[in-house]
Amino acid sequence: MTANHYSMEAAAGPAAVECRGLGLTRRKKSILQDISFDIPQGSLTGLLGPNGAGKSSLLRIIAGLAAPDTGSVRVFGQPAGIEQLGMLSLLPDRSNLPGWLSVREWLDFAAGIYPDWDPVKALEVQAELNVSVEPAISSLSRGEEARLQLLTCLSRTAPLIILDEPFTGVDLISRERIASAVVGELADGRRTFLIATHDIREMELLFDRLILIGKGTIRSIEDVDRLRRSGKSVESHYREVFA
Amino acid sequence: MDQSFELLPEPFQINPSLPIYEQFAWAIQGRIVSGHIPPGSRLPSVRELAAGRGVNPTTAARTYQELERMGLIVTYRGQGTFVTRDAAVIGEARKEIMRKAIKEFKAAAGKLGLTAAQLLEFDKEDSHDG
Amino acid sequence: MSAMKTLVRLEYSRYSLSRLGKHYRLLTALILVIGTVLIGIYLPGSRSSERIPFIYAALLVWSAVTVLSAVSMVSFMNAGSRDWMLSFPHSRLKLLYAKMISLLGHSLQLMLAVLLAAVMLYLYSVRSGWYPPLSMPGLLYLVAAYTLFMLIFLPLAVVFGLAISLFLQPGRLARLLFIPYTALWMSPFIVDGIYGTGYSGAQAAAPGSPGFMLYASLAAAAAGWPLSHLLMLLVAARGLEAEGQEVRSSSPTGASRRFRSGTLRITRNTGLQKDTSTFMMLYRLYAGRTRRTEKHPAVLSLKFAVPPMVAAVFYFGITSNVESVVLSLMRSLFGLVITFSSVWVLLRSSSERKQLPWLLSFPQSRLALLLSGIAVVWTTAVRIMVILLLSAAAGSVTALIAGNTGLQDWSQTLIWLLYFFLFYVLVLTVMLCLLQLEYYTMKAPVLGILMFPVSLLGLMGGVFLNKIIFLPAELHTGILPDWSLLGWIALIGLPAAFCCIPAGARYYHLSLSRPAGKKQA
Repeated sequence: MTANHYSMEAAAGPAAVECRGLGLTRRKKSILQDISFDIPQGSLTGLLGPNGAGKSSLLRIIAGLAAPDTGSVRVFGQPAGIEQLGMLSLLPDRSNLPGWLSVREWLDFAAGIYPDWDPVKALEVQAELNVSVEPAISSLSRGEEARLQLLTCLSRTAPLIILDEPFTGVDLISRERIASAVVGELADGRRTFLIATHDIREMELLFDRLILIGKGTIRSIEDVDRLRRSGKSVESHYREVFA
Repeated sequence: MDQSFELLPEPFQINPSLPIYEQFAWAIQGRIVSGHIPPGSRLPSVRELAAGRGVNPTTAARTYQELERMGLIVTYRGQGTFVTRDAAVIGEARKEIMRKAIKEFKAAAGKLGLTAAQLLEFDKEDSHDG
Repeated sequence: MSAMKTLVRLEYSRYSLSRLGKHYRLLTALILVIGTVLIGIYLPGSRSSERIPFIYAALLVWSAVTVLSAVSMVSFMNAGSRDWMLSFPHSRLKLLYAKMISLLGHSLQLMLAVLLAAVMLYLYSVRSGWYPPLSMPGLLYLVAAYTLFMLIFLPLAVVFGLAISLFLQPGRLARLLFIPYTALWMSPFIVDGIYGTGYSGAQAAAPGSPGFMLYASLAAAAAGWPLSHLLMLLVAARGLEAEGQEVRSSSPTGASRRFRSGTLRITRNTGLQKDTSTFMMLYRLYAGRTRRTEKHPAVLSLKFAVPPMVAAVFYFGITSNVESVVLSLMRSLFGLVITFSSVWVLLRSSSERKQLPWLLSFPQSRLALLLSGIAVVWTTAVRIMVILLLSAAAGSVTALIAGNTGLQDWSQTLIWLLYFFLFYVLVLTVMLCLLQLEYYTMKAPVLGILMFPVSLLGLMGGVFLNKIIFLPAELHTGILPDWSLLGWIALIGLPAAFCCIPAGARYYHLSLSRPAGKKQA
């Protein structure tokens, strides 16, 4: 049987993310070098790599929170930047939502802050992720806050969703809930996901594309199905590249 | 229609080193020909299958495309995906599975330096003794 | 509801006292007003003119608002929610204005409370017969002029405080400008220290008269507001950059680097002297942070610039027979050191949040942990004071040798200098201990209100003390300092303050469970 015969392949239009020759240097230390890749619309791309590989820096640049020293990033054909923040929904790494608010208060604020907030979707995802609205955010466990953060991301209609380590410190059940919520979103085919994670085993069934970066350079870009047809799993490929 | 069947056998171990849609399609094919999933049953949506198993929706979609290609399932726009009522198609699929099983059986016998017939003979004697 | 309004409400909610409930809010306001009035009554300057309460009010509001804005900016830069907020799909300028407007709201409340206190102080002074009452229209004119002035400079003060983030960006030339920035920050007090009560003169056009304040307001509005907008643009463009992730000391690299340098030092030392006590190790761990700050170019240049300047000022001051002016400048410098130490301690509790679980899990007593933290601040502050003292002494000795002053005058100046030094060291000690109450007050939200005047005292203490301790205008009359005051502080203040340390240490861990936002408003 041959590939490319399925109908869910990327919709027409520019790539969701297009990086060309990205370079970033901070304090004389090179963080990213010559990073180039495309992320087609409607795909779920895993950004994998060891600690300190530059994943978070790359995602921040794509989100427009930092500017690269060289190269360019386009998000749906537009140069990345603060103006593009409405197009993407970012879950930043190791971040907290405003801890002094209750969950309910935060969701109310979020509805006003994000122009693309979808209240109906918010209720759906809230039920799916089992987020309770009463407690103060500062009193949530990591897993609970991770689910709330994901709820915030998914309640928007932004076509690109960038999750930076959404599973850090999250328990098994919460992980499964998060993963299945992501799948539910992806199935509409309208959203593009870019997920940086260390949890390869949890996530490998979800990815359809992989970008492996190490020490600030691209080490491998793979189509996951092609990988499996050659008898390799995401995990074994990761080991091969970084061993 | 009420779903009284499981689409995939429980527990189902996915081998991450092989294309997942192939594993799904093979397992579902087995469930259909064995009658676990009766003809005419409505299958879960791509989204439900993907979310339930935690796989990429593309994988789920490919699984159904694979089964559709074999004629085992039919998709009616706006209504959903159903197992075929065409007994001939199911019979053909059954034959394919049987062929594959025989092939594996023969291979297993070959490893022991026996023929398939010898292996069956042994089984007959063994169950008499038992 | 517009996004801007939501953003403002979100920012406002962070420090909103209404979260504590109506009673606490009233109580806080009451304590603030009464505390301010009480302090005002004891400032000797209050007795000279009816303008003084309002001048003090303006000074207090300026510095409190700039400090609070700066603290809110620094805590925003360090907060875990920063990346979320920066990725809101709105322009940076909009986010910044939301922050500014919310702070303006808080500042307005503070201003009203302080203004109320000023009016009360005025009424008290009139009743005490310190000066004759103004006519009703005269009073209204005075109050209106000062209210207008404060209202006008309030946005300036907020923006000025927010601008601190410009100087926190790593590897920028702007860091060098940090010195003039802080000088501007303290400018009202420096002006006040130099002029003393000079602007209390009765002439209608004197600085501080209502007419003058109206002109000042006009000038502040005409020049200050456009300037603040420009500053806002600059901060939005430069000060919020997420590259500030390196600023964020909570990022693991920063934190681990800090820890690593501390531990390296320890291992190196344990090789030499094995009996290094654990307390000293903790001390070194904390001191590593200071050492890094000291390598900052701005701090380095301060280190080289200030001692010769102080020496020079003393030399010329003594030569031209204005010892008391020079001494009061010195006093302001000592006061500044206390203010900085207090800011440091107050910021510490929020900046070390992420490391706190680690620190607290060291197999050490909490007392040792807390004490070593204070000890670093104390030794650093005292070191600075000693350097200031020595520079001043060097300047005066030069003047003596050059024959520009007599031995008797010289020794008297030196005695006053020493007196101030000891006095401020004592106050510093008491203040640092008192601030440890912060942890104790986390026990209950009611106690949190207590912390407000204490931290205010820490921030403003140095300045208030300048007003309280007596310094004769003419030193040559042979008036000697009141040593008994030092004795009383040492006898009563120190033991009481020391009690705060074990009390704070006992509840040190509460700062772990405290929600990030609930600092004093």
